[in-house]
Amino acid sequence: MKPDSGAGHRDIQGLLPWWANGTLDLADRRRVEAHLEHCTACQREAVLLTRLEEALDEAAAVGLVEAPHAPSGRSYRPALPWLGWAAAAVLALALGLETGVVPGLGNGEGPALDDTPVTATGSTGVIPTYRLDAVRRSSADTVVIPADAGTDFQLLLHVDLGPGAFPLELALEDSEHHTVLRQTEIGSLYEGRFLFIHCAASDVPPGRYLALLRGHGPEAPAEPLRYSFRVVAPARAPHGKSGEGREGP
Amino acid sequence: MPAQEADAQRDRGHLDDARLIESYLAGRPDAVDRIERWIGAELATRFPALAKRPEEREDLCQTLHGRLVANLRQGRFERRSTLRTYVSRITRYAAIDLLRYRSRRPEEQATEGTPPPVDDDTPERAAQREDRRRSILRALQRSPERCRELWRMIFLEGLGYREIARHQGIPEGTVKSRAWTCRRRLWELLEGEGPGAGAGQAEPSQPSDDRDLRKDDAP
Repeated sequence: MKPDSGAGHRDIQGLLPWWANGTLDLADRRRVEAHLEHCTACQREAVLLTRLEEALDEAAAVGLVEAPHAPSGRSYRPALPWLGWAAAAVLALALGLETGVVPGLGNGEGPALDDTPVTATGSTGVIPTYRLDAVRRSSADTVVIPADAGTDFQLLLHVDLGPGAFPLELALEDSEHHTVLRQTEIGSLYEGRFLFIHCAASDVPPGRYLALLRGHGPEAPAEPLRYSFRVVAPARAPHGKSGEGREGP
Repeated sequence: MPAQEADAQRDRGHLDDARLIESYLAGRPDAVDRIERWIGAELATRFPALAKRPEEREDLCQTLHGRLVANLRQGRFERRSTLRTYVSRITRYAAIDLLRYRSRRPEEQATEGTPPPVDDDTPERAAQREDRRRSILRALQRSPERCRELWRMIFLEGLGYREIARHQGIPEGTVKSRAWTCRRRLWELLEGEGPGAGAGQAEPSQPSDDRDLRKDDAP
């Protein structure tokens, strides 16, 4: 896996990322292409960079990294701290790695086990992300989500449906069975297992909710998958003391 | 709400792609032409010499269409990207494979026969691809922050090295050498994943510091 040596080789290697993103001028493109014809190390690098590009696209699609600001890519502004520990936790979760559990959010009590509030960076700041596990989806009040300062949040639904169940449709219903959020024609899942749902604070105020995920494919289960959760209002703390979260109407 | 608009836009894009795939698989000329244009654009952008060799280009296009039809029929386009991006990347892999094949000695070519298939569809290969994808995500996660930002500017913002240099207020040579160092670090992290750079299930670590990057910042 050692790259070839030589100044010309290193010069071309230095251009490869921009060859991969298609921003080289014609003369440089020709130099890179000619070099690629005989340099196996650079061929491997070119493949690696293409895979890296795919990985970044994927991470951006689910909000793990800041998405591009403009299609032309000519209006760069610095990103927020990128893929820091919190977003790394989401990534680790999506990759099936262990994540830490924040104490005091139902850890070890009843059904509310896996409600670690991990966060992901987005273009507007830090978005809390809550995982609703498929195993516990039928339990009541699976996850308690604090409506902290009215911020948006994301639900990370753990979905265990085969490809024959797709496309999927998601409906998020409040306690009066009003649909507050709907997504149709969901064609794929992140990592084949997770569905990210962005919930605007204004659409999902404090209260009880049920996310219903229906499959429309030939192998879809007859009954929709159910994920229940509660959004609670920020704690009221008279005299400056913190208190328990209060459930909304 | 921007996020909802983005979701709606993505849903519309998926629907457009779904219609195009249906037309393409039905062999409708307009759909085939559109895919053909995407392939041509990818070749012109990254393989200008290959794009001008009609016979090779034609062979490559035929291979690509065969591969695309097979992949799309088997539902192997998972909509992690747009169809156009998917076609562009398959084209890139195929063109690199073609260059790789041509760089081999004639006796090796005779042994191997035709160029290796792109993205072939045995379960083992699919599992390897998935492992590689996860490895790269993990390596990305562990890369120094400065590298992650550089990759983001290159691949998500689509910036050239001159633009990055201007925005960062550093010489172009520094941008290139930083990219070289970041690529080397990525290789190291992938090699740390174990044989095949994908089987490892190591715990994520804190991003490493970027002290050695500063060495490369000297123009």
